[in-house]
Amino acid sequence: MAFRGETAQMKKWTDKQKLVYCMKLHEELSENYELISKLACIALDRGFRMVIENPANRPHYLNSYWCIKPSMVDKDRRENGDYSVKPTQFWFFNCEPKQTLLFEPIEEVEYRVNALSKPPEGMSRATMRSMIHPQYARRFIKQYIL
Amino acid sequence: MKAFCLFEQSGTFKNELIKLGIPAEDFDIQNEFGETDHVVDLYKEIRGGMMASHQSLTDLSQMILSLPFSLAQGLRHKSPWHSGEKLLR
Repeated sequence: MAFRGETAQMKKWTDKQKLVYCMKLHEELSENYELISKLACIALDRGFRMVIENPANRPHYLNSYWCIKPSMVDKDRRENGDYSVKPTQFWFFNCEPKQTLLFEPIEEVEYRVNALSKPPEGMSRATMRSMIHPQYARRFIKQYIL
Repeated sequence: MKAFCLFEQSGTFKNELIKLGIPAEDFDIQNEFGETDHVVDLYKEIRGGMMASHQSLTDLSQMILSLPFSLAQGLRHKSPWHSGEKLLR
């Protein structure tokens, strides 16, 4: 919506203001694209194993404009003990995700709908949205990495 | 093997790796919870060829968990990568 100039904050902006803002956004997008590509190149050059994670919303810029396809997509993180569904995609470099079966009970975790849940005291909503439950992290490591 | 966790929520993965017996360190530009091992400008390091200044990371056998690699953190505005936008046609 920001690139189309349709956000609420941009309603009263002039066309020039929108264009200047969008140029800045695109510049940052370009820089970030370069950074993730460079990080991948470094991993491939040096041979160390690396896992990159990013949300799996559709459409997603990396799915449309990156030559590296995700190694796996977790469509529902709640199934592995995280706070929310939050579809997530993972890229594995110099390794493949393992498929280890875990026979461990999953502890119940309070479900968070990020748009509605109130963040804990002292925490921003952005931080809360990005949080990963330790149980999910542990299960991910044991299922796909070790 | 040693694991390096980068960017936001790297501490969560670092802690779990350590509990599983894998030495791990985390790197982030922020230290929001006071647990980050190395507070560094990761974007600058990546541009510079990946932490050339950090000696231990030259070991090729190390595993790097860039988890989560939230590039939205680098943006002052809402990341178009997460906004569901089709940017280029």
